[in-house]
Amino acid sequence: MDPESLPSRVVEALRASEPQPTVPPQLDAAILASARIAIRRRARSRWIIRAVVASGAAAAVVAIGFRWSTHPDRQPQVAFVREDLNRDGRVDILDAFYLARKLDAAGAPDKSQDVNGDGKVDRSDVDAIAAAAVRVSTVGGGAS
Amino acid sequence: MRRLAPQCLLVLLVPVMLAPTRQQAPTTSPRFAYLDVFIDPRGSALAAYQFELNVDQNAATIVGVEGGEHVAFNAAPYYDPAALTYGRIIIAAFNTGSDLPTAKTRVARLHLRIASSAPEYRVSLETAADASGKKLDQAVISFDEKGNTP
Repeated sequence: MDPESLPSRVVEALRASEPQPTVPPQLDAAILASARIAIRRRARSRWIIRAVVASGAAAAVVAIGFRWSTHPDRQPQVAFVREDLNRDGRVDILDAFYLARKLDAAGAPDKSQDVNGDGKVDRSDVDAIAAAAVRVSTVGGGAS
Repeated sequence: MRRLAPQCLLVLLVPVMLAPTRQQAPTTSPRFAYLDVFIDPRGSALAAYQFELNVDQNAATIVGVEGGEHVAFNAAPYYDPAALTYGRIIIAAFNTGSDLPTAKTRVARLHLRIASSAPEYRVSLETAADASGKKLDQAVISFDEKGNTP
């Protein structure tokens, strides 16, 4: 039966006759406390998610920036000539001196220092570098 | 007619022989001199050097290069033999030993054939280093022209 169709007096009487639920205050406090804890946890996890997302985005921005700045097209083109052993951008007597000291110290020579391409790194490579350093017979003078 | 031929020839030749010679180059008799090049490493041990010398090619010609006075540099230095035909030469040497000059020392002597009275030399020290290869920025270069053997 539809309660709307009953007279209001009857409805109130019926409601008054129903037993009222009683919740012990301890239980009420425990429910409230656990509800608060759950709300705090949810808020904390929300902050953690936000922090992770923000860190990821920042890391992505940094990575993209680094890739962009180190892209070969962005780098100054420094072409070292073979004789420039000390990689200072010019061929001079210090390159020959560098190799001579290395040979004197009996250090393991690097194959890339085989300047004259005879398959070994020795005094003739030192002389070849020195010759390149003092060359003036080419246009522009000594190699640089 | 046959008798006159030598006489005619003589008449034609005499003015040619007596005529003053055509414009000759100003006669500055060339002399030979040498240019001593010094490097002062100012207390550090000089183990390697490289310098460049420029001179007006019409004023002087480099005819030879020899080493320096110190035992470390008395061998002939590195240079481009083709530079002897240029007015520009780069000279360099190094020594990996431990007996190295620490004060002003003559590192090279350049022999010159000088055509003008006072050629202008430009000498620049391109690099100098100590035994470890460290550049000696404080090192200074100087030169002195000597000798006059016409």
